[in-house]
Amino acid sequence: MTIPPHEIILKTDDEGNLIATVEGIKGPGCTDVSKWLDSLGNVTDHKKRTSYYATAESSVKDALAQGGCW
Amino acid sequence: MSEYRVIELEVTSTTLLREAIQEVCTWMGIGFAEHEQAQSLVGYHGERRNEKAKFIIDRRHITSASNDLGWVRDPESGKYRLIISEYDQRQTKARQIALEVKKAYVLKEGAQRATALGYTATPVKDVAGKTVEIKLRRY
Repeated sequence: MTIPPHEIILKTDDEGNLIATVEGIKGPGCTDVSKWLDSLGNVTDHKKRTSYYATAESSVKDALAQGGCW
Repeated sequence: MSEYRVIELEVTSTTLLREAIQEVCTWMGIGFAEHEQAQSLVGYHGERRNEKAKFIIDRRHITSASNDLGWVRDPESGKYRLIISEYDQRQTKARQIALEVKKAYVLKEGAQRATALGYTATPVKDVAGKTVEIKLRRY
């Protein structure tokens, strides 16, 4: 499987936990590329944003609406 | 933005803990010591305490009434444990040092694992030199 280009932002919270946010991938593929994060430790929260549920078609529409490619 | 995770990490790597303490001590302008064999921590009266640690931040870098702050490895679990006195748990500076070291450690651990998987890791620092986030990119 080819891994699409993406970015993961690592930050910390006020208790010293790691917060990892995946960007650049819409849909369930997001979970595939970031599965490795689960092996870092105990995942206490895992939330999916609106774009996670976007389809490929809606991604193209979004990109066109924004005047560019996604 | 598609998803995010909150992950609790254990401190297990001596190398990354050393780097984390070093980074925090540098931007806070304080010193630390690393010992081959764990050494006794020193209390605020100058007395040797029962607790021993591999990495020690001298009490004089914290407050005049503080005890040494230390990290020691549990030989069975391989995890590092923070030793902070009851008094210092109520002190802002001691708690800040401990928290900043934990934050620096987890960012380093995440970045190290990511680079092993082919990501490029770019740290973002504030004006003091503290790493506030790491951008991981994979093309």
